[in-house]
Amino acid sequence: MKTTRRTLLKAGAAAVGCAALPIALTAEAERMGSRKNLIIVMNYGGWDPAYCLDPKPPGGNVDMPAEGTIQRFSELPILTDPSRPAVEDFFTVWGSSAAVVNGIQVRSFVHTDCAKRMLTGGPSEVAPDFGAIAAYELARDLPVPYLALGAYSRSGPLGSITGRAGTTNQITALIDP
Amino acid sequence: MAKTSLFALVGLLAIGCTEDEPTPLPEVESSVQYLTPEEHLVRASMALRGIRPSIEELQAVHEDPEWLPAIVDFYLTTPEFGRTIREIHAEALLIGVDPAFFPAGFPTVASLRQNWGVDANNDGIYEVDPVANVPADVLAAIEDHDMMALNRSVVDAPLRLVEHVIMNDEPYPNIVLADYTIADPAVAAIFGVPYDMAGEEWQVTRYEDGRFHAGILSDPFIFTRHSSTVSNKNRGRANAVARGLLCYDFLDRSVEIDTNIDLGDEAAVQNAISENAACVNCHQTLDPLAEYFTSHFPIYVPGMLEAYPFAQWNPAFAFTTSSVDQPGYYGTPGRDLRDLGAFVSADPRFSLCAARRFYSYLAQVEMDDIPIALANRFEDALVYNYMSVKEMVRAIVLSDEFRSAASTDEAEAEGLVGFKKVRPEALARTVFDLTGYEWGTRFSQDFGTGEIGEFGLLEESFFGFRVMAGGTDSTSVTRPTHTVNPTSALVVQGLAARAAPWVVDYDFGSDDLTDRRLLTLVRESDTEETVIRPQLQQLMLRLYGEFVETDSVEVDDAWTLFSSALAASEGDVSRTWKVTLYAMLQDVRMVYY
Repeated sequence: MKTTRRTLLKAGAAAVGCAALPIALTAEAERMGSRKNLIIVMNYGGWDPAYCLDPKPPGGNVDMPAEGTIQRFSELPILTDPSRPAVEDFFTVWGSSAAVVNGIQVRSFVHTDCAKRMLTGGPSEVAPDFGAIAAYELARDLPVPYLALGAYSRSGPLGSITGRAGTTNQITALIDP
Repeated sequence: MAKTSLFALVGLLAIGCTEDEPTPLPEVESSVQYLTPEEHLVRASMALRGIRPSIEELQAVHEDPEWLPAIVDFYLTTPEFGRTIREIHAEALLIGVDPAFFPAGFPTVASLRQNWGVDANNDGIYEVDPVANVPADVLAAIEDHDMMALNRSVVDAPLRLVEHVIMNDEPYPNIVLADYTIADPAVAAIFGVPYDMAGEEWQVTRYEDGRFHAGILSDPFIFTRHSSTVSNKNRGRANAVARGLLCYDFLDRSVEIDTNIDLGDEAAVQNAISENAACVNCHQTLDPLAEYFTSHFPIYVPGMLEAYPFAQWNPAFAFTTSSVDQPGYYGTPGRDLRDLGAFVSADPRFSLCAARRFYSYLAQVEMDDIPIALANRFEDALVYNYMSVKEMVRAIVLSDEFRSAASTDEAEAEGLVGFKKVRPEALARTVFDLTGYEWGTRFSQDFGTGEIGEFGLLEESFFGFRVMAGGTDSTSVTRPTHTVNPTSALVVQGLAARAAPWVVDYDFGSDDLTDRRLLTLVRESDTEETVIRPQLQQLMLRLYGEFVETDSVEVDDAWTLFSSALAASEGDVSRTWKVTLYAMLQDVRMVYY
């Protein structure tokens, strides 16, 4: 479907109407009930990969933890140690169906730039992220196609389809002032 | 007869052209419908100033539409237009970031002293003072600044330069040519630029750290917001400038990247950008452009600074971020930022970009949707008026395209933006102008860089509602939303809920009707329909710019609301007006113009 400016205007008007008419919103939600939701969880930061997912040979140029044993879970080399039992527990259960991606070249070490590239797939300052694109392509007829709960989503030029809870969850102050 | 044909006919008759008359063009009936002069005035006022026209201005245009251009000329001299100028360029350059956090977030003086100072005797005299090199009078002016106050200045500084150029009717290219900068005490203290406390708050000054002045190209904050790294080598900065000032985004170029290049190998990458045809395509122009910015500090976190002033400029930075031997501008070699400013300002894309940027912002039409002929027309208004932005903006808001409202032709209607939606910052100004209410708050939290402090909720996104109301934050949300969505509807509702009681209490607190803001025709004891209807009629004019009769449908509806609210309020007139204005202030006519 080609989205035109006027269909967007209608969507905007519908959004206002829905905010004012919860009964209509409920009916619309029931009608849309068969749709799937795409939930994107952004884990900012994480483990040092050398401690678990990307062990390196001892004596090389990469600092490695002194303790640990490389175990293979369905051919995945994982560094385990009793001091980090969750690693072994996880791969014991899920190793056969897990895939490990040990890095994506993002051409930067600046955290915000790296996060931007991971979310949008490119270096542009104005590109939307995967969630915004998916919402625009698959569900732009909904009142709030893309609901951004966290601080890292980038809707870029697709702000009109994005409902934001606010970086500090300000929406609660608007809904229940 | 179409207007253009009529003018052509009048012109031919005037010059007595009776022989060899060219065959007249076939008349084309325009399907476009235009705003009334009063509606046009409202649109111009909202677009240029972010506030509604006064009743006097509306009446003048109502009686004689020829007043409109003169009133627009007046609008172009107002501080509110200066504010709009800053907002346009904040969006263009992607520098309208939330002040208290990275890439802004400069620590307060108190925080610097607490974290890095030594006051051995606990007597307020610092033996080690992180701000010892800030002149005492400048320091005194910012010592009590909270995070918001301090950082608003830093973020605003390059925008103030642009505002200075335009409001003083200097040629627009001065935004990249000016041999000065603009600073207030906060900017002076943080970046170490001379400042005269006896002068204006925002004043012309010059850096003495050796940097070349080239308007905003020399500004420290733009290149703090657009940082760089050893591997990026200022390319992001170059693209930010090209995108913001030339409407040319290197990342929009269609390039087939060679996937055989090992991007993890720095040497292979360095070789590819000079040897590989796919890479050279962009890098042969991008890298020399980037070279102009090597003296700006590559990247730092303002919140981690330990002292003021901060040396943001140093040619030695080129040692790590230089990628080519010499700066250049799309094939023409240059030396420093002054050359870059000259190249940019002489580039035909600069004036065309300005025309597209301003029309896009004011008319809320996407830049890519602006017909080139229309952009050229506004560009001409800039170029043939000594690069006066005011003249170009005047041409824009008085144009037929700007005052178009609808079309009976389906295809034409598709490309026509008949309603413009108020931006968050303009909504804040509008409501403040109408009611005196300012929706702000104060956060006393300190995340290690000083107390957050006071801010307007519609002018900030991290804690406030700027993005939720359809605005941008220059990082996560880079394009505004020109339609209402659920959160922007909630924002309007929330603002109306606070502004209505505020203005009613203010107005009924004064017996002098001339001292009031909205309720200038009624007293708190008035409930008679014959008294209330004229007040409702005047509110229609003040809030929506609509001339209606006291027995019109519009006033009938408002009276029904008022009388119902009065019945529900058990005779409490103050509450009745609060309910009435709560509804009127969130009417769709407050949101669209």
